[in-house]
Amino acid sequence: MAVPPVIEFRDVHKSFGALEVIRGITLTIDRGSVVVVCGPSGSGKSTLIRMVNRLEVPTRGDILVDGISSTHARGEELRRLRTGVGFVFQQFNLYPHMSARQNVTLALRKVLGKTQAEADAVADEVLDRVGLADKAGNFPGQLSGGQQQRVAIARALATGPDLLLFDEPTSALDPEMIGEVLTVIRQLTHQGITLVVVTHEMGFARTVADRILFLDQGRIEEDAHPDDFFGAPRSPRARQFLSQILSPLHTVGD
Amino acid sequence: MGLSIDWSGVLTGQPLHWLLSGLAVTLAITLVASGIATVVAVGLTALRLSPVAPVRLATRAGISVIRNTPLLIQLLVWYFVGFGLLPPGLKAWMTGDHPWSVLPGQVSLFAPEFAASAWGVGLFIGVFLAEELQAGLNAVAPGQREAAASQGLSGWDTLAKILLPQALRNAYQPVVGQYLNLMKLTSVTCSIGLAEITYQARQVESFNSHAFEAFAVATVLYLAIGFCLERVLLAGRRA
Repeated sequence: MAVPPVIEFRDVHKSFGALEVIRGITLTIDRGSVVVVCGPSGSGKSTLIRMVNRLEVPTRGDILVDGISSTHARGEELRRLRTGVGFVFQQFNLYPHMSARQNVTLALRKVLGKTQAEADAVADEVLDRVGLADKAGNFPGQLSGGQQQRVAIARALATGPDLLLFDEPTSALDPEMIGEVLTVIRQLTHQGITLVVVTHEMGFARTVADRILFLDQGRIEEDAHPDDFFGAPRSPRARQFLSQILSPLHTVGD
Repeated sequence: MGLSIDWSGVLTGQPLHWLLSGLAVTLAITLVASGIATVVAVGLTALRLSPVAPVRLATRAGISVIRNTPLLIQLLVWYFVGFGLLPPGLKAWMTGDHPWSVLPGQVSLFAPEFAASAWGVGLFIGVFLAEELQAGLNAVAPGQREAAASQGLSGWDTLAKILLPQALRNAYQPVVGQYLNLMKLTSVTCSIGLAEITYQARQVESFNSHAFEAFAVATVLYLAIGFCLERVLLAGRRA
């Protein structure tokens, strides 16, 4: 392969106490690809991506990000690695005491050492990309859920990461706000940034992803192109999952 | 033998001069000890978040010792033992002549009485402030720390820019209470001879036996400082 993978999992295990959440995952993710991770709740989806930038530490195995072990990185090396990986949380996790612009500029100034003027210019640019140029001065409490998540995406984009991880980015949103966030994520695809998205939005997955990972009980049950995954899922658990999530009562008009 | 009140016994001449210089010293010690308490509280909070377990353990132990012993004992220890343990050169410098450092009433900022009082009261309240900040930190969503970590912020930036501002907001009222406690607890420093308001009120009492008037004036002075301090600190909340 000409380009080395951006993420490589090597027989990764993770337990919380007696509970084994990830049971041996080996996986590579190609640069620039768009990967959707799905599966029933408790299957280990969030843990999987949270281990990439060491928000969780694997119990066993190793994870390489751009060839650097995030499992073993510490101090300055870990911080540099994290700066290259944008993370978008389910609960947004914006800093509530800072304006949208300050949320975006903080890491630019403190981690990348940019001046206030340089950081502000970047903030205006990324807030514009998520359609919130006019909300730069607003505090998180003054924004809707969808707007907060778009600010969080802008914040993750600001440091120019090669890799963006989304942990159920629309699960905490009111239904009418899901679309605006998915639209922003969709615009980020195929711009050279690798996207790994944990989501239950199967319509989004079908139209945007290059690859679907279906997790069940801490293992990758299915690793397929969306056409194959949605057209003819091989594992019985995936079939069951899809029939539940794509029931006629579920909206997939994306 | 009824209580005859004579305000001129405390509000004129030497007694008035004593009380005013006591006021200046109380203001100075409150200011300096508040600074020390703030630094101590932030430092302890940082140490408590240290990734090194023995550091966290030692911090907890230190906090426990300070919290569970009387301030008066601590002041006596700092004054009689702590000062004696300082390097001789530093002791000589502190007790030397520094005209610019002298407060009204001939109290030097570096005199052992002032230094031990500022450090003793500052440390004592700093520990309680650290506890208030901890309570405020416990109320900060765990996702805040994760967001900061995911951005590659250092431990110090995370504390200073993300966690402490929110902790302070959560615990603002009790934090203000601790600074007010600090101001009032400076009265204990008269026991190691710092010539602050309480010390001077006692001096007036032994000078002309106007105990009621002297302590009434002292009380009004504390009340006035406390009221102003509270106003200033509560105004700071909006800033």
